Amino acid sequence: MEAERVETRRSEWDARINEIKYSLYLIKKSPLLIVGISLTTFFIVLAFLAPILVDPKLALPEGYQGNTYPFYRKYVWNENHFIKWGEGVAYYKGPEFFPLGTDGWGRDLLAMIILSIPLDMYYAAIITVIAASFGTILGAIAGYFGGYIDEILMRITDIFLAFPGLVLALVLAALLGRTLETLVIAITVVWWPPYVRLMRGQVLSEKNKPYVEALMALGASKWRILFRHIIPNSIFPVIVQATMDYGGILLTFSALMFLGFSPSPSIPELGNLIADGYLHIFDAPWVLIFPGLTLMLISLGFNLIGDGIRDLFDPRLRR
Amino acid sequence: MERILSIRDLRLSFKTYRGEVKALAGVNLDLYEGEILALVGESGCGKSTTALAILGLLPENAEVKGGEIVFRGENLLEKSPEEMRLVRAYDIAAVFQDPMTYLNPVLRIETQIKEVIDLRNDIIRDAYEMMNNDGRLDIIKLLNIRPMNRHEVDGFKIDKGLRDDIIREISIEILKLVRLPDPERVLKSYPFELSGGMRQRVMIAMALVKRPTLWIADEVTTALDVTIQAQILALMKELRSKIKMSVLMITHDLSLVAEIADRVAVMYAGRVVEAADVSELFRNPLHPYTKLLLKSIPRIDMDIERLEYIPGTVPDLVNPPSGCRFHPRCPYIMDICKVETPKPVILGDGHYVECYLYKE
Amino acid sequence: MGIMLNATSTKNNVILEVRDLKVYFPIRGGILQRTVGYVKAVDGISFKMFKGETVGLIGESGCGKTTTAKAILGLLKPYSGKVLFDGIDIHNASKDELKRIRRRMQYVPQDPYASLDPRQTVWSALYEAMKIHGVVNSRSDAYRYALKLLNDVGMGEEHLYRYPHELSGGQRQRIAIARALVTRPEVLILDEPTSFLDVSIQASILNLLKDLKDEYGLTYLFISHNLAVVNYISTYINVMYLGKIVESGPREKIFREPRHPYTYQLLQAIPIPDPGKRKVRELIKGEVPSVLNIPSGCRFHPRCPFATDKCRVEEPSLRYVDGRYVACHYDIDFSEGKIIE
Repeated sequence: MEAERVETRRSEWDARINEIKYSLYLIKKSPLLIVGISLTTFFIVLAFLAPILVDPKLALPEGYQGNTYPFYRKYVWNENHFIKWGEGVAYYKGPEFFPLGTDGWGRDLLAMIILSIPLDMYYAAIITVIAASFGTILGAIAGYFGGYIDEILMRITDIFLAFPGLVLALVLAALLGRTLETLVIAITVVWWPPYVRLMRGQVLSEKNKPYVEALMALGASKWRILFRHIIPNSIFPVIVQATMDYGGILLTFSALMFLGFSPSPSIPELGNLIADGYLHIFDAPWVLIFPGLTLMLISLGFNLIGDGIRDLFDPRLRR
Repeated sequence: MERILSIRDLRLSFKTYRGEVKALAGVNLDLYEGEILALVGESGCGKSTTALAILGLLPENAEVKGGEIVFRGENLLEKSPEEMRLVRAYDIAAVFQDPMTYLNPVLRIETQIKEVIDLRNDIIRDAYEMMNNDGRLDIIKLLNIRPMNRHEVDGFKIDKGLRDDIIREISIEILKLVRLPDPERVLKSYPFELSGGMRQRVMIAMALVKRPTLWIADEVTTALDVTIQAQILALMKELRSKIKMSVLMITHDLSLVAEIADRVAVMYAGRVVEAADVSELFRNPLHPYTKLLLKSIPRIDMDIERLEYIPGTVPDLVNPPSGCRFHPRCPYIMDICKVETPKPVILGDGHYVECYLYKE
Repeated sequence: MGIMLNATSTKNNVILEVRDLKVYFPIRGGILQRTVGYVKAVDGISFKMFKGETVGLIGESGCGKTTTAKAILGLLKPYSGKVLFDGIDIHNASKDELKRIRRRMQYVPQDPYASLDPRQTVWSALYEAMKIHGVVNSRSDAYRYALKLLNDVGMGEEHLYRYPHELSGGQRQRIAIARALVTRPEVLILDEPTSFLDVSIQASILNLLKDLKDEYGLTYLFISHNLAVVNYISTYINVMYLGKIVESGPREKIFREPRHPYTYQLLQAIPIPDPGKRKVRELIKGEVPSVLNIPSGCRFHPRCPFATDKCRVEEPSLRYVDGRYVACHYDIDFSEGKIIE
């Protein structure tokens, strides 16, 4: 049932603002989405404020010199007192207060977590954006032009899909050296193929829609149709997928760091911190729990957003 | 003639983003036993919503604001969802527009028909008795039996093999009744293997086999070619001569109404604005909307210089016009039309109209 | 107004001609995906359209009328045969020639909702059409032109910045028509333009089309399965069945005195909005055969009450009888129900 509204729209902007207002209304109705947005916003803000909140020099552990590991791992504040999880501050007798305890080098765990957030989120974002963009463009070309181009691109994609991520990362690390950038390349190479498939499918279905035919009859060029019409109408599932992948990519990045790919074990990074603590689950569980929790919450935030906006913008549910 | 369905002052709204859509604003409708009543109107007038209200299949955001739907003496609006399910299983059958979406694409036709018949012990028992007494199954006789008490047959049990045989026999006979060629092959087919016309016949068969008191046919021929539509129409005429059925036929196509209906009710913006016997309505339309609507239909049997059309647009049901909802588009508008909704007026011959131009 | 329009006039009176058009879709099978057969959607049709006419192309689903329209618009390549716009073979034209032809021949598709990009406002859609063909010089010219077009189709400035989902079906169709008129074309191909619309809205769109035809000097190819609508608006009719034209002629001849059994039965099957005229109809038996399984000889013979052995074997060609073309071996008296010897 459509209606005829009486007020005149003043401009193209009015039309878009109206759509945005409707989106906000829908967002308000979805509690999970609100949680997702809150979590994500919290962490993004934290990522930007991190250098202000915490002095990066705290990341340099006491007695630390270059690449050597201190033999003795300190999980205490001072040698006489051992803070246990849940037992509170009462037992603390040392000179400093660590709200979440310390890591193996005696650094303030909370400070390390805060410092690692921008690092993790930044690298995960880079990987997501590059993988998604690259995969999407290939997928759009494959889907739109079809024929040999489609065949070739899809076969290449299949080859890359077959790579086991871990092995590839190992190989690249061996070849290119163990740096964060190498890790980015390794993960990107493994994550882009699903986007090709996704975008290709979307483009294939958009391509056959009546409005595309109408545009062709109008005289629009193939490129105009692809870039101005098909891609904007197909891109939405890609965005949803990328949002949800972000969490996965973050976890993969941290996991690889955890497994030993980090250039240095003392870099404040969530995976690194977890690597530090996992052997001491029963003695000093906080070193494992808090960074893990942080990873989980960041991931969760993005997943909820991805899920929520998919429902929000699905044209069939929307009106 | 018994009145099977009686809707009085049905008011219903939908809650949406833009506000409350006042979809039905006091619908009055009567359907008598054995007649085909056509419910006619353009998109948005509420005819399908009315059907869904009768069936108890309204979406979640629908809210009944008042009125009653009396079916065989009981108000359907007061029934629980479980009770309505029984009503839909036994008393009211519906056939909708697009058979492809109402048939399960992964099940063969025989499975789907079996599902319908299996729920009805009473049909199986009647068929069993008939086959025992008469030696064969006369489907028309079977469909004309109407049990009054659903629970009579709870104790009826027979051997499963025999039951399946009876169901298969009923399936074949009912497909023959709707004039499907080669029923055995149709039974073994999947929906996508049949044409649109054939699928619609299957849907009609599945509705008929339930021996419903009331049949609701919602735009059943809209998606079909005109020659197939003619066949389905002829089929419906043939069926009604053999089986006692009361049909609520919902359509936007007034030509179909002229072809097959006994009485017509015209809906506009959530109200029935006129209702009469079909020849009376076409010969002597009273409501301005009906008059304009009839003059806007292009004809194959005559040449029209220029079609009339109704100026203005369908009203926004979130902010409907005050008083008579048609008044902004009405050529005969008077002051009172803007103020108050006209009360129903019944003129001679049962011609019902809601318009200030007429008085009892 | 700073609008550049290409006012080419046609060299002769026949603005569009279809010559023995065949549109086949290959069926691929086997491991190597070789072509094992064809779906013969359009199997050799020919007709001419003269300037100022409204040619109705009618038939039921599967007859090939939509495929014909797409071939005429250059959206599909024919298997053989030609489509000539003002004498130019559109499928062999250069890219530039094709673009120029597209300026002069525009398309109004069937489903007004699906034919507009849902993310484009009315303004955006119209402006894009203008840009593609370089119809305007500046944005302000474009704005004024858009308003004029909206006015011509009975809408107003308030609709300019609306999305398709905010408009009613009738309004969307008007926008589709407005977009088709941007380049001031000479020919409009309309594919079931009113099928998705309510009856009273349909009436207003049909009247609009009639008015625009005079105002813009247009020629229409009107495709529809609704014969009453076609009767209202067309001057010349082509009846299609299973990929071929079975009857072709002036509207009054075809609809008042049909000569092909299919045309006759099609007319018989149409319900009439007059209870007084309710009659027992002669029905066509069976259904339209699948395009994959075209009957031998005359395609209509399995459903034709007058079919003879000759009909089963020999496909009739169009012959000129009584002011129109019919593809039937015989002359038939429908009221008597028999073939005239």
